[in-house]
Amino acid sequence: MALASSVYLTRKSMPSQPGFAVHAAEGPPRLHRQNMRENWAPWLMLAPTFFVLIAVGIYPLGYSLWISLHDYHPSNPSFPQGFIWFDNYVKAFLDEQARHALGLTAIFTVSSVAASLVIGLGLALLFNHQLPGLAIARTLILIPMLVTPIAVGITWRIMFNPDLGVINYLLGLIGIPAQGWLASMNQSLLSVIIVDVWQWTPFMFLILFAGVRSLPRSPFESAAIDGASRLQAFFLVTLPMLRPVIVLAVLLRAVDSVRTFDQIFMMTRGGPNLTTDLISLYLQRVNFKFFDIGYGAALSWLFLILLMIAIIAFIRYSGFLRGAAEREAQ
Amino acid sequence: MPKSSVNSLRGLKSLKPSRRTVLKGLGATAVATTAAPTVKAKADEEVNLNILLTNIPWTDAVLSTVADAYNAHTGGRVTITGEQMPYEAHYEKIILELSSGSSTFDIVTSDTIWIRQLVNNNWVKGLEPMKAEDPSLPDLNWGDFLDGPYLFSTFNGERWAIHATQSTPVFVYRKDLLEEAEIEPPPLWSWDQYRDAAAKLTKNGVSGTAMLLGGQDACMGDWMFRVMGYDPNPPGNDFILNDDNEPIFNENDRGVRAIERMKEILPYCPKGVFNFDYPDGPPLMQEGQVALVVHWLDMWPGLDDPSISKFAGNFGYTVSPTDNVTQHMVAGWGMFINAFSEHQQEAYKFLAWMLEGQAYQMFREAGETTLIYKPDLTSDEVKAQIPLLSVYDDISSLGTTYTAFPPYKVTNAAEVQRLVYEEVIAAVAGDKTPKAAMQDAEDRVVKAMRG
Repeated sequence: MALASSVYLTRKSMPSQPGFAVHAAEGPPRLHRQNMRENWAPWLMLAPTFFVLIAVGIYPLGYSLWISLHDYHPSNPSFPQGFIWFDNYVKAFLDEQARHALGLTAIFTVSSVAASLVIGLGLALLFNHQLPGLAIARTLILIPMLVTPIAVGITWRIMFNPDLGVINYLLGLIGIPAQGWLASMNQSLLSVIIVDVWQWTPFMFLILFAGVRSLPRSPFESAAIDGASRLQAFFLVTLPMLRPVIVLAVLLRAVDSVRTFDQIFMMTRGGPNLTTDLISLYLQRVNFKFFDIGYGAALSWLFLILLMIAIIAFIRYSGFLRGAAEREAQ
Repeated sequence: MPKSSVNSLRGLKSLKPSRRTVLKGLGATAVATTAAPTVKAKADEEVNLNILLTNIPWTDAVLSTVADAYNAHTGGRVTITGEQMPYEAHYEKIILELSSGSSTFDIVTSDTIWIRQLVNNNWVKGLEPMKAEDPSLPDLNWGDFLDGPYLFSTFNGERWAIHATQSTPVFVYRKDLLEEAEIEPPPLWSWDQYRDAAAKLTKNGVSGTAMLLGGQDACMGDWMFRVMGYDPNPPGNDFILNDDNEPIFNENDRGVRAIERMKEILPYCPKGVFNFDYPDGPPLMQEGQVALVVHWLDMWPGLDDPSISKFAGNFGYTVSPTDNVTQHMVAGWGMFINAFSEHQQEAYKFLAWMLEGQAYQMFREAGETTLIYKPDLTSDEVKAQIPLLSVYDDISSLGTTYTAFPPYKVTNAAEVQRLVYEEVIAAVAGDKTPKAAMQDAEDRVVKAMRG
């Protein structure tokens, strides 16, 4: 739209430009050619971007929406195929396993994000002090985030092994009996949350640390003059000022967390007894194990819509946009 | 346009080739025309056969020693390449490749459970039908091989694949621990005997037994080994569905009883039992964590290799325990010609060459234990080298008959297997009663039968 307006303005402003008179004197065909060139040039330059956007973004999205209205089994051509309106969506609402997976995903995301926020914030505040060795520790702390999720999954699977793993061995040294971890139906979800927190707390730390470092000193000095304790300064000064950064970090982390697949697939494949069967694993199974592509697409769309509603609600109720507007006004 | 370019173009326009130039051009054209068929013929002669494989010992051999031998056999004309995939990803790769009509792979390998999907969807070419169409193709030598897995790849009396391996359930036990506990070794134990021995052997940090409940296919094995002991089953049937695709896995409550058999040994399994999959089985035995296990033959390579197994030489191998009838399931990997391949005749010739036997010996040399080549299985030298194979001696002395691994007759076998697995594991975990789980499994399987 902005582009079209600028083209319009250029065209309207032409008569007052000195060059216009020269062109006009040379006759209308040349003017027309130049106008054409000016009108088309920006569009031509943007065309490759639009093409890529349509090819890899808009078209697949549209196609998946279209497929979600079909009974489509490419791996079983003998199965009924064809347009079935919203049957897949109705099936998704009635699918007990989808609801179970969605519930697990919510628990996983909330727990993982909350834990990594608390730990990440604690680390950010700690690393804000000038202590010896913190610079090296700050670098080391980022390592988990750099490891590929597949390697993380395999490594933790071995470490969590109830019979041969190092975690039970270490617990045994301090007299704690061996736990089932990933093999236990009561502890499997907790175990995968621990791994997720381990891997992604550095990400939280990185954002929050940047936020903490950018806070102005004067409010803290005023609070100190007013006699505020450290705890009061944290809750009444640090946290409110960090709110936009926290909201952003939570948002990014939550979006990433609901999509978690690789590490859990490597650790449990959704088991035992579906206790870690997050929606991403269930979607993978429907799409690439059962090859029920139409239903898989419908489930994905419903999940996307739910996710967007959650994000919009979170942004709205967290006051993120309001805060941003206030800052801009200031 | 720059002036120099304009001048060059003008020069081209005004170009008048000399007679000599025209003659040179004609000569070059003539040479190119004459040489083209030769170049094309050479290209036709040199063929690359690309194979989709999983990642087990025999497939390593296919890409190394077998590939070299066949390359030499064809005078360097045919090269063999391939891609090895982990078990689960292998299935996804097959479906994605073949459902899109891809010719990337000339030969695809398939576990028995997926075979009907490939055949029913016309994604593969049958070997015997190809031979019937073109009698000039070489004969296929089936005689030297076990015929168990051909249950799965024979359609209308014709064989569609060659099988690389044959697997069957093997009861692996620690001879030293049995002797120490004064337990008479098998064969042929009942599941009661198995449970009692597991209870007695659970001590000193050793678990009496283990199951692999964390993997879909692995857990279904544990359940089916017990189901197969209740009722006789003709070789061509499967235990899950009858010919009308109706569930039969709980006929006479055999499904329920098999779950109860699994539950009764849970207290004697290691803590990690609900997360164990195929890769977890061998270390349990190699490290001396477990005394008794029943699982597929291909699960146990290296148990008698002292460099990786702490208790090498202490293992005994025999047929699975049973409750009623003695029969053993068979499964194994087959090699099929992709119907979209551009080298179907060459792929056929390669498979025919493999059936001459040399390739199967190379599989064994690469560490494969699920042998199918009869001269290997009857060789004392080979049996001494792979003690696991003594299971076949017990099979023949007990006269057990083989039967199919379910549910292989439907095109969505992987989905059906998954549904039953989820119910079995829910019951073993105590979330449902075995009876309720089997009822739910039947309902879900009926719904899944859309074709």
